[in-house]
This record gives sequence, structure tokens and C-alpha cells, in this order.
Amino acid sequence: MAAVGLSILAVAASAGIGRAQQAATPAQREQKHLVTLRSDAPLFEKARACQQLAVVGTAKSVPVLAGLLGDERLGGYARFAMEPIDDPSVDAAFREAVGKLSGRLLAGVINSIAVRRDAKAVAALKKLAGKPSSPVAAEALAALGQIATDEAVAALRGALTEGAAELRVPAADACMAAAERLLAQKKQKEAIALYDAVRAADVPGHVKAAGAYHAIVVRGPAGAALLIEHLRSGDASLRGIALRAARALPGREVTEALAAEVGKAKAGRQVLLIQVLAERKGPGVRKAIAALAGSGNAEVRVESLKALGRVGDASSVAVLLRAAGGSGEEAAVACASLRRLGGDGTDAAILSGMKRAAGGFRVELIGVLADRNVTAATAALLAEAGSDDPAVAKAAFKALGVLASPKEIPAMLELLLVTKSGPVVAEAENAIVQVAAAADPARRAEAALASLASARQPAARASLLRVLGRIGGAKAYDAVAAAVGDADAVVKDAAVRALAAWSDARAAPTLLKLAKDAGSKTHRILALRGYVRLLGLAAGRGDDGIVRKYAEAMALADAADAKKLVLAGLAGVAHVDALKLAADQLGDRAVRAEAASAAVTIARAVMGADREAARSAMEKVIAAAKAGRSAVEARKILQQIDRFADSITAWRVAGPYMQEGKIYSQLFDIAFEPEKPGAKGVVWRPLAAGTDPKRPAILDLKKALGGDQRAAYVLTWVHSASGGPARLELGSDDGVKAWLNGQLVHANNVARAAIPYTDKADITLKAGWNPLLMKITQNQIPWEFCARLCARDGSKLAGIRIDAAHEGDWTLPAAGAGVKGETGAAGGRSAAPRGRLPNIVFILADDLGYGDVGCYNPQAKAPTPHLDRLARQGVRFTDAHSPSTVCTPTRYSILTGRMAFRTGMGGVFTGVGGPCMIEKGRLTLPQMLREKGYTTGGFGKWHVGMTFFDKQGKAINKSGLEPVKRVDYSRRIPDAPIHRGFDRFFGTVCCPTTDWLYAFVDGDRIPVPPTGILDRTPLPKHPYSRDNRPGMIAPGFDLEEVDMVFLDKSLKFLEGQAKSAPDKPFFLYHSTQAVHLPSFAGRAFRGKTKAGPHGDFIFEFDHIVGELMKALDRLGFADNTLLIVSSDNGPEVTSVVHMRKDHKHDGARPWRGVKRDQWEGGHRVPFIARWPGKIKPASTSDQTICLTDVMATCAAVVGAKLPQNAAEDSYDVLPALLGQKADTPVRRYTLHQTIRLAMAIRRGPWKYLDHKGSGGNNYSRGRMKPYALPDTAPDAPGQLYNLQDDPGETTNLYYKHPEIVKELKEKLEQFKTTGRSAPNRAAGT
Amino acid sequence: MRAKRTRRAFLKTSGLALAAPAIVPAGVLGGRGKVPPSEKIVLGAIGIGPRGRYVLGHMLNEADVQFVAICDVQASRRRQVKAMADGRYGNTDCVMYRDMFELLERKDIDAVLIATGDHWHALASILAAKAGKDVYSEKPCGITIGDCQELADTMNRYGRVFQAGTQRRSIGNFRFAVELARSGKLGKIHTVHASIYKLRVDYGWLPGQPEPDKEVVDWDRWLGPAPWRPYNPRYVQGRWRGYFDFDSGATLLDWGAHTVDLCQWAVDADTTTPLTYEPHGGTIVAHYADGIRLVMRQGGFRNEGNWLGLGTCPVRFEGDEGWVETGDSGNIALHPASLMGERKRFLRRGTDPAQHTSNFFDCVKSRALTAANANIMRQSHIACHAAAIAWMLGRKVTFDPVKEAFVGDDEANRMRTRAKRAPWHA
Repeated sequence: MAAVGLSILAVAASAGIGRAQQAATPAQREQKHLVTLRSDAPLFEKARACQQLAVVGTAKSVPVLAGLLGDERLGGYARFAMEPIDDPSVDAAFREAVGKLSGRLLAGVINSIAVRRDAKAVAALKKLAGKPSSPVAAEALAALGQIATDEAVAALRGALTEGAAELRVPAADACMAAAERLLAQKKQKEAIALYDAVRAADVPGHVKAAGAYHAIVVRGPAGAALLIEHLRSGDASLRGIALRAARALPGREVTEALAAEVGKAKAGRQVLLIQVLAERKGPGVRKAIAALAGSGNAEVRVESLKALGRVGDASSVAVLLRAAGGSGEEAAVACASLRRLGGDGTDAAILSGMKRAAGGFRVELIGVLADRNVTAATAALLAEAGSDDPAVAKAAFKALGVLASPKEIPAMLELLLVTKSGPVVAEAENAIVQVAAAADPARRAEAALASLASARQPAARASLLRVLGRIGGAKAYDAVAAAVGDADAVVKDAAVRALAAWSDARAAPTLLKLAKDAGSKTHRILALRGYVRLLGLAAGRGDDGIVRKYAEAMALADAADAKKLVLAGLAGVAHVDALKLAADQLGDRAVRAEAASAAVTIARAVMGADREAARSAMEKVIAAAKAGRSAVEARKILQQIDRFADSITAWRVAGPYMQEGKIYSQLFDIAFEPEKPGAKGVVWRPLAAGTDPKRPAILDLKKALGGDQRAAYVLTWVHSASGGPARLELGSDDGVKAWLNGQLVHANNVARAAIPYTDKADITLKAGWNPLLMKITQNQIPWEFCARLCARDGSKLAGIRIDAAHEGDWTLPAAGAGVKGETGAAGGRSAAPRGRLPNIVFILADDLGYGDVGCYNPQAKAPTPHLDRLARQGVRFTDAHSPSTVCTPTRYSILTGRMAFRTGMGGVFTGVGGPCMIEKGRLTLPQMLREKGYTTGGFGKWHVGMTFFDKQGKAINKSGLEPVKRVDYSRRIPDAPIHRGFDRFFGTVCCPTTDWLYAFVDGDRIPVPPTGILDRTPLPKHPYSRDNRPGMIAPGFDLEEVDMVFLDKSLKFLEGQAKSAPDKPFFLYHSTQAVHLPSFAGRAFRGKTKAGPHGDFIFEFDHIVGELMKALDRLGFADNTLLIVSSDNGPEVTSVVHMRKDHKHDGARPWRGVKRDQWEGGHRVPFIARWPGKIKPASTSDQTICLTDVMATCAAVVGAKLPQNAAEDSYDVLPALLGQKADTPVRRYTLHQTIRLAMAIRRGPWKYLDHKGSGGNNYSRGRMKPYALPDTAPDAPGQLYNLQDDPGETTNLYYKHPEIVKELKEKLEQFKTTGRSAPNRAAGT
Repeated sequence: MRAKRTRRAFLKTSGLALAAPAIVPAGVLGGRGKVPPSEKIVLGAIGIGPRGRYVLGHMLNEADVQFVAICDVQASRRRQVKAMADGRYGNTDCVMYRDMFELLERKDIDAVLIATGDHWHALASILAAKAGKDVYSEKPCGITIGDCQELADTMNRYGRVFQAGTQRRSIGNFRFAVELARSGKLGKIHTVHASIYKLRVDYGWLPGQPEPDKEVVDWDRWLGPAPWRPYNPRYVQGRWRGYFDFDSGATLLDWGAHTVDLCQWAVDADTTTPLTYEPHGGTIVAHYADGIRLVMRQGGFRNEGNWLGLGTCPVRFEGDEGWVETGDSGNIALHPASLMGERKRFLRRGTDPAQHTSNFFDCVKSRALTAANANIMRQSHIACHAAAIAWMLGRKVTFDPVKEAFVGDDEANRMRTRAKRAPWHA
């Protein structure tokens, strides 16, 4: 918003005064201000000059400033400037002015002398202070107090004792100020003399008291006697000050004197002294206070018992127990003190006190033990829980609920089953449920289920069912659901009630069934209630059929109160169908009010999305509810719809755009990407509709983008049935430009508030879709706009539809190209069908070998049921490759469709070093999909680099521990995944369990930064557990559960899509840590296979795939989702070596080489794809493909056109996925690279390695030596293998087929130098 | 930390009044509650606008407090407060003053509430202390380092009870967070975060207008110790914020007086301040002698500055084993979650002064130190001022907490104090 021009003379400095002045030296600044002061500048400017001289002025300024001291307006400002100038000429000038000035000006100068403590002024000040008639005598006395020379002090003492009566108070104040100066100079004696003089002077009580206070405190421990004397004073002021001094005066002897005094004092003072002593603590205090617990005065006893809670220990328990066993306030206070009392042995003393106590007191003490968290009391409490006294038993169970551990549950159950008293049973059930909550979730219900199996009495069984109902979980549910059919009515009733209160959706189907056909009406109602409640829970999670389920429940509800219940739940469903269902109930008089209220609530939520549905429902509400509250609300909604019906609230936004040093009005004229002809790579995000009910037309860019001095672009599509003249009306904060169909229709470079609708532009709409692009600039604070379309005369415009998500070419034409034709705008340039595009899910394993997966290796030892099932549902590739033999380059290639060696970067990221390997501006796989309307989410390991900054704002480009320590986590990451095409990202920078930073990234920040060095001691230890770098770890970062965290995030993403955008396609990139070293399978997977820790880890990966598959099924996505699973390279050395040895499992089978090696084992990876209805189930493909191809393939799937400068190594392998043209290779050549950028190239069966050896691991020594093969062409500089004849790459044919070596070598060079290996993509094809 | 004391229990049992009022106004005898008039704390108020009325409203709820007098330089505000008090008591006893000395001279008044514009807080508190009154002053209690020093020194000189209006010291969720930090349950605390409001300084003057009659608005008194400038009604209507002459430390203390204070408390630094202050844009990072970082960063309204959105005035304390963040909503976020215990939510909002005013009146009776006494205020306010000075200078400054002076920075040192307009002096 524009700065409002009210403060005409304002010099607002939003960046601090220093910034504006840095250009000039202090001397130059002083000179400038002096020029101002000597000129005839306005008063304001001179005043400002003085205030600035206060900071930069020197002796040079003094004469000019001194000349202003007598100025009525500027005199004060001159003092403002002079007081801080450290030069004697200032003092001289003030002294000189004393003789010349009078009145306020003189008083001011004296005050300045006081501030500067000018000892040379004492004589003059004495003179002014001596005259009672002097109007500045008080000021002069105050100044003498500040100066506090011997001469000044003598003058002050004189004024205090012999001076004029009306000056005694200022003289006393000055004496105390002087005493403070003397104390600063360590002149205790002189100070005490002054304080004594003040307390003896003829001044008001509070002034004497002030003197007395310091007379006590400054004396130190020697002041004790004076303190006691004042504590006994009859004067309230003095007594009050003594209480304060009793806290301020240190020393053991003082405490002792106070402890002695407390016994002697009168009751009222005893109370206050007990408080003081309790604050002081120290020797003797406890005893003195305990003694007063037996005082004859009730108030003293209470205060003593209260204080004992603070200062007491085990020795105080007896006293407190005695009082606690009494009654009234004393008992209450004593119990409170027992609860807070510290000290060793206190718990034990209270416990034995409890055992001795009787009846109600025992109950109270059991409560004390619980509040004190005395877990050692558990055994004693179990005994009490069996007490015949129901109150005691109840209290004991209550305490057990807090103190007991799960191993006490069986004992508690045993007691529960023999308990007869109703209230005790309820408490016992509570306690068992509470304790069970602390147990391992899988075993929570165990003990109660065992009891249920043996219990025979109906009452006992009912009790156990109630307990099981509240414990929850699958096993408990089965038991409770089974009991619904029990022959005994009591048992059956308990089971139904437990189900009706069930905490998760598990019970919904059974409840629905009971609601329909339970024998008892009560049970039917209870079940319906429970069912509706569970629907309410499900509504929050985006269940698609929720409205249908409510409708079903509504049909079952025969009584009004049941209907009301359904309506109450329905109100929370923001869906047009829910609105209709609610409105349908308006005819039922019994529930009309609830139906109206629900309809209003739903309408408020959906009116933005569907105005007409909301309008029609509200009209019905008004007709039905007439004058009711809901009718009033409904009218308001109608008014809102009427008022804003023509406002455009659906927009997509891009930006913010800014430029160093340019302000909003300059940014207005800078053409950022969206307004460049044929703009490319603009990222459009949905803009939230106005949320302020008072201003629903207003869209808030500040909320979406934030910041000052920037610009944003917003885009929407207007569909006009017939086309024709119209008017665009706008309000904006601040400037606005608008283009319709690529033509500028309005421009207004202003700073202002957004008021609907200040700007009007006549436009002409085409029939069909019209893109409306606007640019909004931002000066500061709010950043908003609003827009609407109407007829040229301002009336409503018919036949208009708005869709921000419409696909089409919105870009501006090149200068002179004119407005684009209708077909261009309406038809769009993509060949993609306008139908529903498929969702794409890509799951990337880490170091998962070809031989690790069951459907690739029948001898695999870890079960992979879900991957195997996926292969049965889709296609399995046998010749798929990762572009590289290690993580980082492969991931780069998947996300960009480009070989990573082209960036020049070798190696991998291991810490906080950046920058992101994906260049800014490069089209990425997620970005491409986003431009096609996909929501894109990335979860898990990133590993392509992110930039962190240190505290100085310097980018960190190094790996290791020290750089992690340097990171300033308050700074945002500028090149996070969300800046490379992902709408959302949660995961880790590098390998979550091996690299220097153990912390999660959420979006562009690390919400919980690391705080300490990784402690490896609690981590599992086995041959697969090596490889954690001693990096920094965030609190709560659990190395063993990272994959479960990633899975949770991806599942939430899927659920969120189902709930909030079920019609919008999404792309999910799920990148696991499994099965990278160290093999830390999650706790739930440990020991689940017979193939050791790494086998468990593979099993966990398979589980993750299974969970994501289940979620796709559950949320109804599966049928329209392309799901791909693959791995980033071959299996790791450690796991292969140990698994071969320990478990006869070979993750590289049947290939030569492992991770890092250029031989097949290093990069031939599992690749399974499923797309129901498109990909043939249970098919295999032996086409050679590479993970670089994912991007071009996805482009083909969604109909995106790839530009020439993107995805340069990506082939569209969709035909291979779909099983078409099986005989024609989908890609003729395939490139391979290692971590050190050694290269290889493949054509059909031929594979040429442009280097010697593996290209990665050293086979001449160490763990890999046993796997070395003889070199069949030791002199050859490269290797040539024929994979058809020699899949094990045993025989180097380098010399045997020089023509193929030559061909492949040349091809490799060509691919390197031309920058691409994929076919050229000529414009327009 | 001092134990929480229940004021009601104390009142019921003590049966004592220390500051015995000399005169009991007639109307008091008909007052509310069961406390005999002779044992009531007699209260006056100086400079009461909207915030002042909110705080005063809570003070009027105290059964042992009798509010008797209002001083304000604006007639409309005097009348508004009188109507509020008389309405509450059902009498017409509240006396109105334009001149605060007339109110301070009344011997029956034990304590005063000061809620003037910021530039008057310190001087009014000092004058009240010298007149023997206990003082509850809204924050910021002083708009310069020098103000804060003089205020604390004067409270000490006269042994008065002083409570700074930093009521978050008495509010459950903030206390909970501070206790967590101090208990060691978060491990060693390494960083504390205090939210601040957007920093700004306006050195300008509004256009001059004719001064009204001083019985309507006493402009000279309104200005008080601030430099003279021409009258404009906007100032006295409450639009003085942000102006250098009337506000404190680039408005940093608007929130910082609360949030930096809580941070000081959390790291057990109530008797000192950080040593270095370095501005990074709108964020200022300070370091204590033991290396703990205090980060003053903007936001809290709409999650600017990466706050979790727990309401205005958020603070965050981070240790090497956990962290806690809370704000005015009463909600708490923390890690590990087990530290939450049973309390999930605190219902009292951060702006509510009820507990804080109760603590003040308890201490008026017991003479104990208040939750936000003058010494605590001095340190945390000075830390804020030092940070604001670093920001205004646009450079790192080093501060000596013992000498209360910047090290090797003459310009910064000269910004510690401002000359008071005559005849006002401390």
C-alpha cells in the first residue's frame, strides 16, 4: 500500500538511520547539520539537525549550539545535542548560560549540568539552591546530588537539616542521589551518614523510610539490629521498608536474627516474616517455621505449613501429616505442601504415613502419592485397591492409573474382576485403560483378552469388553465385535456400547449393520450415533463417498434426535451434495432448525466453488426457516453472493518477481518472464480465494507471496458463450496491468489501497476461452487485488464462466504479431487430451540390486511379495539401467532427463554442500508435469544438492561436519526441490542415515535443526551397520524410522490429493533410504526375514511399495495411475559381500559387478511399471531403457512438448511400456557413467567401456578381490563385451571387434560434444 | 523462579495491611467485597487510554483495591475512566486531575497505575516513587537506556514496589515454556528466539495545528520530557507510535519488552544482558557471554519469520535435547512431545494482565519483589534498546552489561540517553 501522506515532514527511515548516512563520514554529517543550523531552514530541519548532532557533534558544534540555548523553541534541542558531546567547552557553555537565562530555559541548563556532573558548577548551583524563593532551587539541589563533591554534599546536608521546609524533600532526594555516587566510589561510611541524616530529617514518612532502608542495607550484616528495630516499628512505612530490607540484606547472621525474631513477633507480623524466611531459606529457617506450625494463631499455622512446602524436607513430613489429617484450610495447605515438599526420604515417609492413615485421610494421601509420581508405591497401592473401603479402593485405582506400568495390568485385572462396587469398577477400568496406553500397541489388549477368554460371569465379561473397547486395536475389536452376538444381554449390551464408542473407522461397517437390524431399539440408536460419529472422523480425511454414507445414515434415522445427529456431522462436509442433502431435510419440521443450520454452514464453505448451488439452498432455507437465525445467516450469504457474484475469485499466481534496487513503480515497467512474448517455464500456482468474509472479492497476494517491492502475475480464463463487448473492473494494491487474449487492456502505475472497483477498462471478449493475465505490483504492507467482468453499462454480464485451471496458451504475442487467433487460445498447443490425465507415482529405491527382488531372482532370500505382485499387474523390464552407478548423478538424470556428466560434476553430495546440481531454469520432470496441471510432491531422499548459508549469508559449498555446524538454519534454502518443480517436499538433503546432516527438510527449511553430534552407541551393530558419518543430528531424528516418516508423508500427500483435489492429477516422487547402508530396517521389520538385517531392510522397502499400492487402491487412484518402481544403481559392496557369505543371497545376480562398477551389476536395475488398462499385466520387456527416459515418457503420457534444451538424454519409451513394437529398439544407444565420470556406451548387445577395469570398486585388494576375474585383454585401453553371448562380461572383445569399438567410441564422443543423445526435437513437432 | 502464590489465600489469611491509608474516602465504606476499607490498597491511575482501561478493569476486580483518582491530560479520557470506576463502584467518588502532582500529593493513595504514552512511563513512575507510591507501569517502561537506569535506581532508592507491565511473566503457557527451558529438560539451551514487530523509526512531525485549551488537552504536559513539536490531534488520540521522540528503540520494545524479557528469564539471565548485537535485515542476533544466542526476529501474526503461528508475541527456546515454542494463543509446540505432560492448552491469552496485577498487589502488601520488578525490567529493556541501537546504526555493537555501556562505539553510547525537555528531570 502507498505510504499515506499525512506526515508531511516525515523522514521515515525503515532501514535505520545508519544506512542512509553511511555514505558520509561523521565529520561530513556534522558539517551538514551545522550548515542547516546556520541557515534559515525551517524549525523542523534545525530540530532534526540538533538531534543528529547529539550523535555526531563535536567541540566544533558547541558555539553554534550554545547560541541556541536561549531560543524558546530550539533551546531544548540545543541541550539535546550538547549533553552527549564529550568536550569541556560544553560545560563552559552551560555554566555561562546559567548567568544569562531564566525560567524553564535556566532549569533546562541546570538539568544538563546535573547530567554532565560538572563539578565546576557547584558554587553557582549552591547559590541557586540557597534561595527558597528561587524557582530553580529544586533543580539546583538535584544537580548538586548528581555532582556529589564534598562541597556539594555539605551544601545538601545543610539544606536537609537547616534549609527551607519546602526544599527538604528535594534535598533529601539529592542526598540519597549523592549517597549513591559515594557508594560507587566505595565511600560506605559517608553514604551511611547521609542515609542516617535522611531518616532523621524532618521529611514525610516515605522519605524517612527510604533513608532507613539504605541505612540498613548499606550496613550489611551489621544492619541486622537496625533491621529488627524497624520490623518492630509502629510506623507502617518503616515496617514495610524493613520487610523489603529483610529480603535485600544478605548474611547468615541476618537470617538467624530473623529466625529468632519470627518467634517473638506478633501474629500478624509473624505471617509476613514467615514469607520472608521462606524466601531466604538457610540454616535455622526450617526449624523456626516448623515451630510455628503449632502456633496458637490459625493464620500463622497456615502460613507456616505453606512455607514448609518450600523449605521443608523429610523431617517436615510428620508435622505436615499431622496437620493434613485435620480439617479446614490448614489440612488443605498441609496437603498442598506434602505434594511439593522436596528432600530424600520424603516419598517413603509419606507412603508409610498413608499406610497408617485411616479413611478419608488415606484417600487424600493416596492422591498425594500419585501427584508426587511415587512409582515405588505401586505394590502398596495394589494392596489398597483390594480394600473393602470403596473410597480407598477407588483412590488406589486412580493412582495406579498414573503410577502403574503395563506389567501390573494382569494384577489390576484380577482385582477388577472381584470388585463389586460400581464406582470402583469404573475407576479400575479407567486405570487399566490408562496403563495399557503405555504398553506396546501390538500387545496392549493381550492381558484383557486373556482374562476375557477365561471369565465366565456376565458382569466380569462386560467389564472386560468395556476395557477392550477403550484400549482399541484389531484384536480387541475382533473380541468386542464377536461379543455383539453373545447370548447374555448384559454382555451383549456392553459390546454394543463399546463398539458405538469405538475410536477408529474399523467399527463403521458393524455399526451400520447394527443400526439397521439390531434387535433393541436402544442399540440401533446407539449404533447409528457411533456410526455418524465415525463418519465425522472420516469426513476430515477426505472419504469420497462420505455424502452417500450420510444419506444412508439419514435414511436409517427414524427419530428426530438421530436425524439431528446426522445433520450435525453433515455440516462439516464441504461438498455441494452435502448441501443438497441438508436442504432436503428442511421439510421435516422436527429437524428443520438443524437442517437449516447445517445448510448455512455448508453453503458458507462451498459458495466460492458453486455459487448457484449455494444460492438455491439458501433460498430454500429462507423459505423454510422464515425468521429464524439460520434465515438471517442465509440472507447474508445471498447478499454476499449477489454482491460478489461477478467478482473473479479463481486465479493462478506466479511470482514474486523482483529486482535489486528497483521499487514497485519501476518494477511496473520491467517485463518479467510471464509478460515476455512466448513466456517459458512460468510456474503457476493456485491462488487462495479471498478468506475475509467482509471482503470476499479481495485476493491476498501478501499471504500467498509475502514481501515488499515486488510484482506478481495472476492468470485466469474467461469463457464467453457469445463473445462481445464487456467491461473489466479492477481494484489493486498497488499498480496493475491487464492483458486479455494477449493484448494490453489496462495499465495503472500507482500506489494505493485495493478498493473495488476503482479502475474500469472496456474490453471485447471472444466467444470461447479468453486468457486474462494481470500484473500486480507491491509497494509495502498489504498486497491485494480484485477484478470482475460486467457489461459496458455496469450491468450483469450473461454467459460467463471462469476457470483458472483451464489449459491453453496465455502467453503474450511477440511485438507486432497482433492478437492470436481463436484456435490458438482455445485449442491450446499441446496434443494432450483434455480428459483426465493419469497420476504418476515413481518409487525409487536406493541401492536395490537386480537380484534383490524375487521376481528378478528366484533365489532371492528376502521376500518381496508386493513387488512381485506389482510385476504381475504390470510390466517388468529386464534390461533397464540407471544412468549412473551411484546415487547423485542418477537422481539428477531422473529429474531432468539428462546425463549428469554434462554438468561436469563428479562425486556425490554427502552434507550441506550445494548448490543444487539441477540448474535454475532447467525444465524438470515435476515442473513439466506441473505445467500440465499436476500437483507434484517429492518425499524422501533428495541428494541432488541444496544450498545452505552460514551466519554471514555465505553459501556453503563444502561437505563434512564443520560446514554443518556453520549453517544458519533461520535462512531459507533457495534451491530446494520446491524451487525445482515440486509443489511440496519433505525429506532429507542427502542420505538420511549416512551423511553429515541428520535432519529433515520441509519445503525450503529445516524445521528442527540439528543440535548435537550423532551418538552412534544406541544404534544396531552388525556387519551391515557401518557407514554413519559422525555428523550433526536434529532432536527426534530417528535413523531407524526415516523410511516410515517418508512413507507417512507420501501417504498424507495422497490422502490430501484425494480430499482436496480429487480431479487434479498428481505426480508423486517417493525416494527411499531403503536399502542403502547402514541396513537399519525399521523396528517393525527387524527379524522379519531369515536374511539378516539387510534382508529385513529389503522387506521394508517392499512393504513401502505395498503401502503406497494399498493407498492408491483405497483412495480410488489405482486405475488411473502410472506406477513405476526402480532403483538408483546396483547393490552396495558391503551388503553383497556379506549376503553372499551369510545368506547365500546375491543382490547383483546374475551380473558382474556391484554399485560403482560400470559392469552390469552396477547399473542394471529392477524396473516395474503398472498402468491398469494400458500396460498389459504380467508382461516382461527386454527393451533396453534407462531412467533418463522417465521424463520424455511422462511427457508423452501427458502430452507435453519438450523443448530442445531439456531432457537431452531422454527417450520416449512409452511404446515399450505399452508393449507396442516389441521388435524395434525404443532407444538405439544408451550411455553409462560412473562416479568419476568414466563413460560407457551400449548398442544392442554391444557395450563399450571407455576405460579399464570396473570404473568404480578396486578388485585388486580387499573385500572385492575374491570376485576379480582375469583380464582377457590386459593391454586394451577400453573394454568391449557382447552381452548376448557373454552376459557375465568375462571376455573383452576390444581387439577382436575394433570396428565396433571405433563406432561406439565415435558415437560416445558425438553424444558428449553435441550435448544430447536423445533425438532432436525440432520446433513444432 | 518464585513459587506461584495464590493471592486469594493470602488475603484470606493475612488480615494485615501494611500501607495504612491515612484518609478513608466516604464512598469506600460502601465498596464491594469483604475486605474492610481500612485494609484496602488505595489506587490512582495516570494517563489511561484503551490499554490502560483494560488493565484498570482487572484492578477494579480486586476486592482489596479501591480505585479513587484518575489523572490524564485529556478531559475526555479523564471522564471515561471516572465513568468506568464510578459505574463499577456505584458511587461518584473517582476524582479527576489534569496535573499528576495533585494526585501524587494525596497521602491516601498507596499505588498508581501508569499507562501514559511510552515517553512518559519512566518519568511518571519516578515521580510517583518519590511521592511514596508503589507503581505498576505499562511497558516499555523507559524509551532509552538512561530512562530504564534512572527508573530502576529510583525504585531502589525509595524501596518501592514496582511491576513492569510485561504480564506474560505471569501467564501460564509462557511460564510453562520458561520453566521447561530452565529445568534442563530441553538439554543445554543454545538459542532463544524473541519475536519483534516490524522495526521502524519516524523522525517527522505532523503538521502543526492550534493547541486546544489545556483543560481539554494539555499539550505541554502531554509532551512532558519529549522535545517540543507543534500540536496535532493525532498524537494525543494515540497515533504517536513509531515517532522517534515518543516511542522506544525503533518500536522494538513493543513486543521485545515482553519476548526478550521471557528469553532472558528462560536462560537465567535476569541480572545481565547479551554482549553483542548484530542486525541481519530485520533480524537481530545477540550473544550472551556463555555463547547462548538470542534471535530477535520479526513476525508472529501470519507466520512471518518461520514462526509456527501460535499467536502474537511468540517465543521459542531451543536446547540440544528439545525445543519449545509458544505465543499469545496459549498454544504450545514442543519437542519431544512427552514434555507436554497433561496440560495441552492454556486458556488465558498473552494480553491478559489479571495474574500480573494480582502479583503486584500481593507484593504491595508483603513488600516482596514482583514478578517483573525494576531490576528485571532494567536488564531486559536495556537488551532491547541495545539491539535497536545496533539496528539503527546498521552494524554490530558490543555491550558491557556491568558498565551498561557500549564498547568502543561512541555513537552507540551517545544514543543511550536523550536530554529531557525542561523543566523535567529525573
